[in-house]
Amino acid sequence: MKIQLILLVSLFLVSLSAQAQEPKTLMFCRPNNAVSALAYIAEQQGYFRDEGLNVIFLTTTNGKICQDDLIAGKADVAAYAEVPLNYIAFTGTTLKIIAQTGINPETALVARQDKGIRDEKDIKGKSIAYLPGTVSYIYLAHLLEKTGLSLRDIHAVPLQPPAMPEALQGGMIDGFVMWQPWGDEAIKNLGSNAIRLYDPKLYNYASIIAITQKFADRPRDVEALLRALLKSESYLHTHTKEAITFLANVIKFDQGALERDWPHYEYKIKLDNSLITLMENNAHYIVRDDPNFKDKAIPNFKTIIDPTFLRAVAPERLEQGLFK
Amino acid sequence: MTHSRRAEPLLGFLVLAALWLIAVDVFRLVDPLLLPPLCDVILRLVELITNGSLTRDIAATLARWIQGFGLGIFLGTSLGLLLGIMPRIYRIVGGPLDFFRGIPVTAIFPLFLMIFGIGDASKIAMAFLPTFLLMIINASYGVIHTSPERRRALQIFGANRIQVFYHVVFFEALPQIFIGVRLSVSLSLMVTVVSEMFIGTDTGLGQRIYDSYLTSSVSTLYAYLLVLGLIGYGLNKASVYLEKRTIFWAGRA
Repeated sequence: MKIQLILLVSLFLVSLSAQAQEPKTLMFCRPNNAVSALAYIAEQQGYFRDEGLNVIFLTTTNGKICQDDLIAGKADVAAYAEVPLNYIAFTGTTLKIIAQTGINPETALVARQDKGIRDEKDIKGKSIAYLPGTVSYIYLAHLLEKTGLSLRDIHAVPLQPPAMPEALQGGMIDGFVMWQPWGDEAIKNLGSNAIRLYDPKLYNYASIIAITQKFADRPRDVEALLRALLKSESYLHTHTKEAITFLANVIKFDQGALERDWPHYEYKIKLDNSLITLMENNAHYIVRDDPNFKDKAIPNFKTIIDPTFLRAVAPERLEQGLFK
Repeated sequence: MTHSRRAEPLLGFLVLAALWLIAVDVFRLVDPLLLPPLCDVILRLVELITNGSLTRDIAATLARWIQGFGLGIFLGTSLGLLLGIMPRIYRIVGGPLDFFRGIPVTAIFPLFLMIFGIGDASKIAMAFLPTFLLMIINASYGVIHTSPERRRALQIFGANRIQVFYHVVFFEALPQIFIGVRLSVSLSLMVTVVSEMFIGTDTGLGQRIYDSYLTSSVSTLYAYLLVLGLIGYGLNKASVYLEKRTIFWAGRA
């Protein structure tokens, strides 16, 4: 009887240890653009697997869809720009930002020179397409402020990104503000008649990693995820050429354009005040321009940032004194 | 119809509203980012009405819809009647017509965008196409299936082709034409709204719904959906009323 009991307990312990070694599955939503660069590299290099994670990817056309997947509980983690989170912060959310993974310089004004646009200030009175509620709108808001204009001084046309190059080529709009690859596609179509007006100091969106509350309850897996992404970051800096070739291929960017813009991209996993400042600035524009948010108080963005996991994995990536 | 029977559909709406109120406003059982409190939605709706923006958007959507739908009804019915009285030509064009009807109209967005651009023309064309195809098929089907005995009887009394068409064919085809109208009403409205969402525009319910989605303004999104639901419901009821008034004999022996 004793032997049987010992055997039973041993069997139970063996099955427990086998369970512990099984890779933990997580659903990772990523838009098919440069925001997801670190996730793509981690997948290609097998960093998630090395960290004991079985990552199932949900690939979408934009980050807002990934955020919806997080809210609906279909994804555990997502990589996207900060703007969609900016909006839900007004209502209140249980989603948490666990890291900023970089700064993306893709958004720019692309316009037709034959419509008299040679400089940013020439957009006054012109038809400029943009996508409301996204980084496209935030860039436009910055651009208008820089040129001393308001949304009323231009004919702002809400348009879907794939329609923008076509509409610009057909002369239905005079310019558009959009991220890549739409800007370069328009330049390819229009040739020397196109002008890309990009100011690196104006507004570059942040790529973030956000997780659900449910996934936050699996701290070891969240930390493993961050370790895998840190390895990606390191690979990106040591194997830049290979990374650019790989990324241009998977996210369908023109390699030449990606090489041209690469010095403006910043891939660094961190959490500091720059993200909070960026989101606060965005929120000011949202409250000013969007009637749905008129008179709303600027949310405290610190409350949707959870530094616990990055502190455990790479404490030097946290701004000292910012988070308790 | 008694008063209580008339009130039954209203009761359905009230039950739905009560469930929403209890589940979300009172017990907070659903994430407000998925289903906001009913009171917030109603307040937002009142705001949209009082600031005039809702009227502008409804007018813009209905203007696009009525142009596409109206043109589709007129041209589709005319061509359908013509094809119905020329069965040989109908057999020739029937195949291509069914082929185009088989393509989901939303898949034609990119093509219409290239042809008509981002302005109203592309959205009107999107509302026109499904209406036009549905009306051709229903009108021609209605004509083809008219009673040959009635036609022959009129011809025996000396009626010419135009008289036979007017007194028998057209009226016998009307019930089938109205089936096409009822199907087209909701389909063309849906396509108009979707084209506003996915092509983009300054004004219109589709654009507002998509803007609300992008900015996670969920109360506003639901307010616009309620309005759109009411418009669709109203148009459907209007088409049923018109059908009953026009072809009052339909369904009777």
